[in-house]
Amino acid sequence: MAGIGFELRRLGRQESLSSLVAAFGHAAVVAAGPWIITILSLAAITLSMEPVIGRDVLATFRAIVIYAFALSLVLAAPVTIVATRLVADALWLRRPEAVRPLLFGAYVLAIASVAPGVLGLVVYFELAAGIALALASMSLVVALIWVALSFCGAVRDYLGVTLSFLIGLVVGVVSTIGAALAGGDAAAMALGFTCGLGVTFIGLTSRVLVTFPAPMPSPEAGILAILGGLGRYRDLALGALLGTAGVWVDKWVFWLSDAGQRVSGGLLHAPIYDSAMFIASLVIVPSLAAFVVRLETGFFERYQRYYGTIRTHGTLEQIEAARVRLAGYTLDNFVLITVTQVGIAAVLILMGPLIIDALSLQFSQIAILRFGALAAVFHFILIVASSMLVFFDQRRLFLLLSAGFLGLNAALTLVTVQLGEDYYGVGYFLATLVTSFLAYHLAVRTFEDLNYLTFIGNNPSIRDAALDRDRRRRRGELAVNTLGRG
Amino acid sequence: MTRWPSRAQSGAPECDVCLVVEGCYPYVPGGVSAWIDWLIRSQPTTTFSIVSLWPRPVATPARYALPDNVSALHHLYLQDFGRRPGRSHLASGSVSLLADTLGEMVTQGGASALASVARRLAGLGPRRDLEAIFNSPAAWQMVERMYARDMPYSSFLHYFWAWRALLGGLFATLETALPRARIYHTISTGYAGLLAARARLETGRPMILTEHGIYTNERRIELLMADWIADNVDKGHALADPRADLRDLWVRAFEAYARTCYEAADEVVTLFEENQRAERRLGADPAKLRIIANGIDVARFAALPRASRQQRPTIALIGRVVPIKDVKTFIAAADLLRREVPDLRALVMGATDEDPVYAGECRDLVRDLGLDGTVELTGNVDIRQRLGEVHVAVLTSLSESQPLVLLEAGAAGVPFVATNVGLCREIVYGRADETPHLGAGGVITGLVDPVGVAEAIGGLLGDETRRQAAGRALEQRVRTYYSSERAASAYSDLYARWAAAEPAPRRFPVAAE
Repeated sequence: MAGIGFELRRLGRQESLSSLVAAFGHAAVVAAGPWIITILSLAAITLSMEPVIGRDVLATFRAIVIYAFALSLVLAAPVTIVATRLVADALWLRRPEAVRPLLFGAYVLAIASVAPGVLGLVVYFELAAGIALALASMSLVVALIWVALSFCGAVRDYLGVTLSFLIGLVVGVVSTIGAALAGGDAAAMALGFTCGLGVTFIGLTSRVLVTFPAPMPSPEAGILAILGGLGRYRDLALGALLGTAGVWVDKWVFWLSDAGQRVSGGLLHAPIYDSAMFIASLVIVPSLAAFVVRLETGFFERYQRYYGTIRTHGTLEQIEAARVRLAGYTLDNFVLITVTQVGIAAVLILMGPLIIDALSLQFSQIAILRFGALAAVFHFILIVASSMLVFFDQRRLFLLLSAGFLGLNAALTLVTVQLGEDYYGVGYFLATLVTSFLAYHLAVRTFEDLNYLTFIGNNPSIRDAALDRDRRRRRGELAVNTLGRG
Repeated sequence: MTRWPSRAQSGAPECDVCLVVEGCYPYVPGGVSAWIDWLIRSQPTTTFSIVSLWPRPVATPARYALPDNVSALHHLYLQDFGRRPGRSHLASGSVSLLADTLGEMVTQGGASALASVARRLAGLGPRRDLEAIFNSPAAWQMVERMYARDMPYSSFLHYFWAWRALLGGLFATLETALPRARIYHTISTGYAGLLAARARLETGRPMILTEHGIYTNERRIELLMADWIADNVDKGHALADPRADLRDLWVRAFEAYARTCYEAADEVVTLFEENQRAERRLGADPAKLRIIANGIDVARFAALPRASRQQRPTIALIGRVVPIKDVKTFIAAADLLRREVPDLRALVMGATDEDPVYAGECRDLVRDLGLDGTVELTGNVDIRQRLGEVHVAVLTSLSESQPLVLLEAGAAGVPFVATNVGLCREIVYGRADETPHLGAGGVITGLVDPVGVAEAIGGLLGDETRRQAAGRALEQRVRTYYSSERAASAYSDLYARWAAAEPAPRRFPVAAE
């Protein structure tokens, strides 16, 4: 009998679509919040300790904390986001036993990523042993926290996260104050704070271990899995690295510019810029929280229904209706929360002088605070839109957006630093403005193209086959037409 | 994508005859492949090139050594189409026009529909990359439009994959370069027929179709047996429900492809008259139809030893263990027959690896019926080595054209019990106008009729005189009417006639390269 029948059976079973996983995008949003936590904890210590130990020691302490958080956040980002994606994949494939090895592997690789950065800072700033020790220990513990946090996010264990941070921060603040009162220097205070962070880390880790009790057969497996994931999801890993660097790059530019000052411990900071910007960025917290709540409720319901409609053999009309509901709900809420965010920013802008006065900051910081508040609105849009791209597996766009934000923020901040004090903060503001519009546009287009993306553009069984053919074609192996004697 | 310079048909032909074959030669042993091997060897002064169509690259080694008069073997992989997903710049107007033309092609078919598709594709511009378009948003717009037009009430998920398979194959067929040849000869309709039709329209050279089984019927049977197709359209009790389900989509597409091939072909050859009815129904012009029965090399079988009365009573189904051979009916018949013939041996001689699931089911059936000492699945064997053990050969197939094993067993003097499919009746009983009438060479039974099959075999095994007479009648008939010399000279006449023909006007735009 001639004829292939086109492997009808095989084609019929080929129902795999992009295995997009709810848990993953979730963690992306949860992980977008950490730098806010940085500011919260710093604020607590600054406010309570300033009268006791004086500005200079406090500035050094604060610099250590900021450096540790920034460094670990940026350098651990690739490992963190890839581990999160792998956890999401494992849960999607119903392989909970894979989670513990991934956690272990991510811990090891996060430390391996952050440690060289610490070493670089120690050498560059010629730090004293005490400060170097404090910076190293805090950076590594915080790196582990980012990893653990993303695992908790992937299983949506918000209660565990909140409790761990609450207890850890209380312990940290108490032991920092204890160290200060006992006459310790900034390094001792930082070590005290690290103790609290250690408690947070243990809390988060135990939550993950309790949730995934399956024992871990071999530790290398997790490390290899993460390394493999870094290769497979390199757009994602690089995007996370550049994206988190983008959040910090304007501060780095300021530290290294003429506006930078050296604290007694040797680290650079730019108090006039840093403090105003950190206060301004607090504005994001309520909006981000509101958005996470929306994700948790309406978004996921519609997200599941969309993919469910496809899987259960819905008609295209039904699929399209589910897509419209998903897109409509998400974008409506996005706009709604953004409007609220604008209101909060307006309040901050109007109350600028009052706030500056209350926190005994310099008058010249009012403008920075206002630009920061405006920028926060757009930064919120950027975070939400990027997480939507990650949600729908637009990894390449996520990378381009992150790289664009990093480049713009660095370049524009560099320009505004040169222009003088009146323009401080304008660079960051413009970078968020431009990138957020782009991000919003990309997110909207992703929702519009969702059917195409699901079935063709992001469908692994089509994309991977095409990539494989491209490889064979390049190697000249593709025998679309082979000439010659069989 | 590399194009052969031959696209514009300049230069000398690469060979006399380009054979277009789908899913068989030279990788799968069996009826059609064996026939192709025979055809090539029977025309030693004709040069051939071969285009072998597959869903994707084949892993198995070739089962047939290419004869010396084959100048080239080309492969075309139908499901290996499409580049990395991304944008392609097509105006939405041309996307919808293309979608409508393609819709026409896969639902109606016909030579002019195929020519329209080619024109439409050529109209997209000289730099269009169909492989890029196939995985772009433009393709999504096409599938949306075609779904809305074809079957908007059925599972979109199923439709989508069916659409990709159908169109991927169509595009691969249209995009591949074409070997130059004096004559294009396809051995089935389907995608092979489509490629041949394209060659006919594009080059104006003659195109011949030889159809063994009716491709569309075989696909229909396959589809009926495909349990994965969810019947998502609830047709209820309404008699005239216009909504189509996925099976209809596939069947319609294969019929459309067949129609295209029939229209484009200059001559449509089949093995027996029965096939022509199906061909006429799908629009083949009766004036183009003709019959050339298969033949075999009688001498290779005539000298084989004959099974004697002293040997253990042995029956054999010679064929691959696949559903269309209905091996289960043979096993069930062996079970019934064993009550009369306790020391019966029933062999199934043929490859078991083509459909392992079905082969497993057959083995389970043998075990469940307690036939372990009776029924034996031998795997692929050289039947010339084994025919000497066989008293009665059996075919329980649901569909056949002109099974070679029937001729081979006949040439070796083994009588046959076969289902009433294809040319079996004519070979076993002789044509009505056979003079002198040679007598019955065995028994013809109904389909899926274990009782009838068992009775027919029992009748022959139980009456040695009758068995030997039937063997002699079949041997004589094969010798007289189904020798390979007869068939070979018919094909060499056919080739000679068309090779001399003036090319017809081209009906295809040849893209400016």
